[in-house]
Amino acid sequence: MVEYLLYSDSSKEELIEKENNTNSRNIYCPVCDCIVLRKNAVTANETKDEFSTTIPLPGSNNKVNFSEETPFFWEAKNQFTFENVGVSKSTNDGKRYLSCADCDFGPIGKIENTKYLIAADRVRYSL
Amino acid sequence: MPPTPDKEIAATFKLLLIGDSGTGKSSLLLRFTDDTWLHPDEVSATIGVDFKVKVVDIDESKYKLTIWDTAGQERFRTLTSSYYRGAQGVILVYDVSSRATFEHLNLWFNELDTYSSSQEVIKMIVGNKVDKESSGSREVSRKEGEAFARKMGTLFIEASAKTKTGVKDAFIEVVRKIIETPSLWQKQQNKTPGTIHMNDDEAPQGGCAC
Repeated sequence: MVEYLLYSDSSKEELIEKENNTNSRNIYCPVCDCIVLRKNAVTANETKDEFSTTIPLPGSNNKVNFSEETPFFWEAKNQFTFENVGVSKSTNDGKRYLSCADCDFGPIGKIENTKYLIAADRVRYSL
Repeated sequence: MPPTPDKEIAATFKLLLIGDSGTGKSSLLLRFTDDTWLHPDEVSATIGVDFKVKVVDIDESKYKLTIWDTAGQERFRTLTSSYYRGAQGVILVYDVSSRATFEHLNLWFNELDTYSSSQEVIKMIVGNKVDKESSGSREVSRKEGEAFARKMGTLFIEASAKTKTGVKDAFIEVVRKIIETPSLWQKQQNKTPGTIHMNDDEAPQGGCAC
């Protein structure tokens, strides 16, 4: 059994590397053991933004209850920044979402103006 | 922003899934590592996956794959060269319980020849839905599939996204072949990866091509 640090059990200081504003821990799927991003791969982006939890992605997304407002996002330069990720087709309103590449759980993030944004509270972290 | 610490990634490959609609390409993409098989009704009720980024370990090296689904565009024959550009591996899918999807492979090979950026691109034919055999609805025998693959000079495998048979093998075998064909990727990998991949792979983004 692999143990993870949950967003709710941590503080921003524990997750964000102070010197360069990047993720100080590896980032994992909230449901399975799939690694999404390696440490220091993405930067913290504190733009407040609404983020719907009810996107019908293929994987089951009812196992975890997330808040509608994400505290902050991790911003990735492009898809190759990720170790593993699934990128959805466009929804009717032209939005695209990110999911786990292994179990298809999602959304764990979205694409906004070609920026890849991972919701900080919808993923788990290495201890 | 610091560069991605992906030094241990030996190479990045682009793989495509093509074939008639209904052959199960989307399920194959989901099924690559997933344990839940979705009923077709469930698949159509969800927003499909456009592509996946996956890191795989082969012979103690790590390779990053981007695996692309056709996004249902095959129904309208609007797949464009941007979808094919830069691909090192192509998986052509037919449904063993539908002869038409098997016969249409010729059309898919034509399209591939037209748009593919390299003649060396690794091809694999996947006869999907072999789980239907038990219900007696198979229309294309394994022998026929194998013979056609031999004629086209491609890899061949029968698979079932439903029972998981052969699915991961199919992807891994294609990647192995790509690795064995350095001319297919070494030139490309030496260029600035970020730039070239962004242009290649983000091109098909966004809405309707109608």
